[in-house]
Amino acid sequence: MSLSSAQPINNARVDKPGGQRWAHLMARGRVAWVQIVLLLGAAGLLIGSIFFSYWQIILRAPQYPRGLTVDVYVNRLEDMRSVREVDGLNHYIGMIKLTDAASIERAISVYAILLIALLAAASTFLPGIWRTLARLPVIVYPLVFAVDLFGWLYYAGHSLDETAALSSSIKEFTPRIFGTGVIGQFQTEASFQIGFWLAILAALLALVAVLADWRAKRHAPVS
Amino acid sequence: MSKAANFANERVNRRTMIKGAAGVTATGAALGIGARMNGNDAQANALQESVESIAEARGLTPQDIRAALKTFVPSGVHDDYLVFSSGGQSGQVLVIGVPSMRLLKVIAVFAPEPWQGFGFSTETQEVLAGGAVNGQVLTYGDTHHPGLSETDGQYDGQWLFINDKSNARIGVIDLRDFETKQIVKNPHIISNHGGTFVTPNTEYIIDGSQYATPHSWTYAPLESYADAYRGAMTFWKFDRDAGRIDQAQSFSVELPPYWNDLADAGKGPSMGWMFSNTFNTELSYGTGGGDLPPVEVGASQRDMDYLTIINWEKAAEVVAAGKAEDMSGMPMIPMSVAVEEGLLWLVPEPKSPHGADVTPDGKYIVVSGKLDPHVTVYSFEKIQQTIADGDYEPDAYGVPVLDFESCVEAQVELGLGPLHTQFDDQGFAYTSLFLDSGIARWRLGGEGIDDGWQLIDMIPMQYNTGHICVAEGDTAAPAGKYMIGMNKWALDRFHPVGPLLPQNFQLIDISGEELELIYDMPIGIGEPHYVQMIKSERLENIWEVYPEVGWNSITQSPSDVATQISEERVERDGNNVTVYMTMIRSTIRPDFFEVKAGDTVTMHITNVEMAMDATHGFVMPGQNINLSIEPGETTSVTYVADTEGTYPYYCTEFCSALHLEMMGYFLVSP
Repeated sequence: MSLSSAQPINNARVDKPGGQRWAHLMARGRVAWVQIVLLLGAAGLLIGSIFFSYWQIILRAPQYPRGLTVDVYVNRLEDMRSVREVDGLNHYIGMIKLTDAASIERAISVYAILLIALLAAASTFLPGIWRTLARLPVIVYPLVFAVDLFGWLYYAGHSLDETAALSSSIKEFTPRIFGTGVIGQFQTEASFQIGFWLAILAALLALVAVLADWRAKRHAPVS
Repeated sequence: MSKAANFANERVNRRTMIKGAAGVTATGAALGIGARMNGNDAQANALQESVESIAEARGLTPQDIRAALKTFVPSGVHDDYLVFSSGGQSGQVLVIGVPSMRLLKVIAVFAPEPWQGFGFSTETQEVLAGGAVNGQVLTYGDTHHPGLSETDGQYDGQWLFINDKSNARIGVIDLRDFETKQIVKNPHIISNHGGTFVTPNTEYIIDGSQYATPHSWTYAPLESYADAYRGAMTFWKFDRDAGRIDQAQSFSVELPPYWNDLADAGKGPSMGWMFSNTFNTELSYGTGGGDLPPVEVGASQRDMDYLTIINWEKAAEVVAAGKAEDMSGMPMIPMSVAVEEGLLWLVPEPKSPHGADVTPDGKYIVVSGKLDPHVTVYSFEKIQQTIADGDYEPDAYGVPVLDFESCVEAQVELGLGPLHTQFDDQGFAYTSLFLDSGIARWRLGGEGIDDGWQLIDMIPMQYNTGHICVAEGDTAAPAGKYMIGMNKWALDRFHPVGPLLPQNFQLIDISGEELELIYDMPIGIGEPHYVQMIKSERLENIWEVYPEVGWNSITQSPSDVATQISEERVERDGNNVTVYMTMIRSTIRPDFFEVKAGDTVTMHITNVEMAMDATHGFVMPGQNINLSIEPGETTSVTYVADTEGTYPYYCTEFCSALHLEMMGYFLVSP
């Protein structure tokens, strides 16, 4: 890929003295380079985040001295023994299974992430508003993840089966998305993990690219 | 008070006792307890005072306090060593932690055991049936000598074997789940005191006959004893990959009708050979209903019996060369062939010997005289030289008997009734003295050791010590530190529990100048014989739960009748009803099924849990069914529902708060 192929930027068909036009082109080219690097970085980080846990919840109770640790990846839950055990415990209070929650999200997440990453990576070559729009998904993605997670936590805690064995002793609640909580004899400790922070970093890089793009446009000579 | 004082074999008045205790605690404070308290003098003093007051209140001597400190293992802390102990007549194996001497588990081997469901499930019934004798499934065993699998002469923590002396059977235990996987019946012999001893890489499991009989369960009148009765040494091939003894690759060597006792495999320079002592070379078979002396007299007439020496590597070659005879489906090398091939030798040994133990370096074989106050030490090198020199005469069966003097390295006088010898990492040997009721410590000799082959000291035992065990003390690299004496009598050691008394395991600290008794452990489930002590770190492959849901723990592979959640069902085929069942806290699915009286019911039960310790039990009242289904395990059982009625089945492990609710109804309609 050559710089000159970045058509939208190469619009300097302005009548300017030779030297000044050349300097302007260089400045625009540098901005484009920076954006490409930022967005390729963002795409790489986002794709890389697939391989890391986004969110983790640790349940501690007297009879679980090692705790039960469930890691939420964008496409899977780990480890399955803990998931199985947590689901087994949750059935006493009539909570949905972890494996049933966000199943659509887990099924499409990898494709969605690849698409988001591709859009971000290609955005620099898109014209005008499309460029910004193509960068929006990678920027809002972590927020969408967190909101979706919160939604499922809320749903899980507010759709308890009223006929469950311990339904009378556990009232509706929302499991904490961050920090510690208490449910029955369990202490829960929830935290965002490296996958989520990678996605955040990707969003920040994309945001910087957008800002750089806007700034470059604002300072561009009027054609 | 008097009993506590007796325990330490001394009478101490209260005053000296407390002074002594103070001395011990002051020493403890100086040596480290104070330091652990961050050097806080006030706390150290408080500790000293509290120890003194506890010692005074409980009547403890300084020795008692030392022993307590050496054996106490705090809550949640694991033991440094594990002991695998014969369970004697219980037909089981005991697992004990050292130094705490806490009983960790009882592994069912030859006898049904309800807690583990052993002998109740179809799978474990098949294991027991593998050891059937003449078609009869036996439900006991006289377990004697556990043998841990070895690699390069050291325990590898993978497999455990144990013999049932009374029926010449061997059990195979997998040390991933501590469960018995196989029982084999020796087709050649009836009783096998000389098992189980493994060769240095577990190539073979050695299994020697005790009481001579006609081979392969045949009849021969006692008067034909000398001609028709025979001994045998069996070498069971162990297939590690399959986790099974491979009978097709195993063989026996025919022996004269002497009674083989204990055995040991050579190692290092004596690799490829094995040694077993024999008694009753007098060929006594008791009174025979006539005027002959009873065995205890008849078998104790000669001053010398024999140490049997077999080159098992050569024996395997002889079998491979087709020179063995098939006998009851397993090759037997005839005595004449064994002699001709030079793989079978005898050497005299003092009267009615018991233990035959190879030193860690593999250079010497120590034999205890039992009715002779010495241990006799044979040099493997000298044995080989004597063979090379042709310095031997045949016995009545044509087996060459090597010259005694030419083979002996040393004789060490230890005391009365020497039985078994073990070794430590400091060049000492330890030999139990049954009649003197103690254990002798003596120094091994040999090249470069001037003060070897002599008695150092002796510790009294309570009472009548049989086998002893030093940590990894029968391997090529003993660990030392601890020794256990397995005492046949307990007498006054424990609170009376009626005329049948427990045995007494005594733990001894052998790391210091003085041998120090530090714990008495009663064994109330049979008379153990041998035990082996292994560093717990060697047992690194122990499973917490089975590898996946639906596991057949006998084949150690996924079960083809595994049932996952939502796959539960009842299938009918004429009078046969098959139930595919799951168990998970706190539900049994299905929780109801009904059959007609006379139907045959087969249940395949899967514990679909994967959580450590989430074991479920299962009972079906009135059907003699009690199962244990560990996390991930699939277990089966079949029974005929011949009596109409209403049967509540349930989980027998208190698995959860709603454990009592974990049940179902089985109806048998008319």
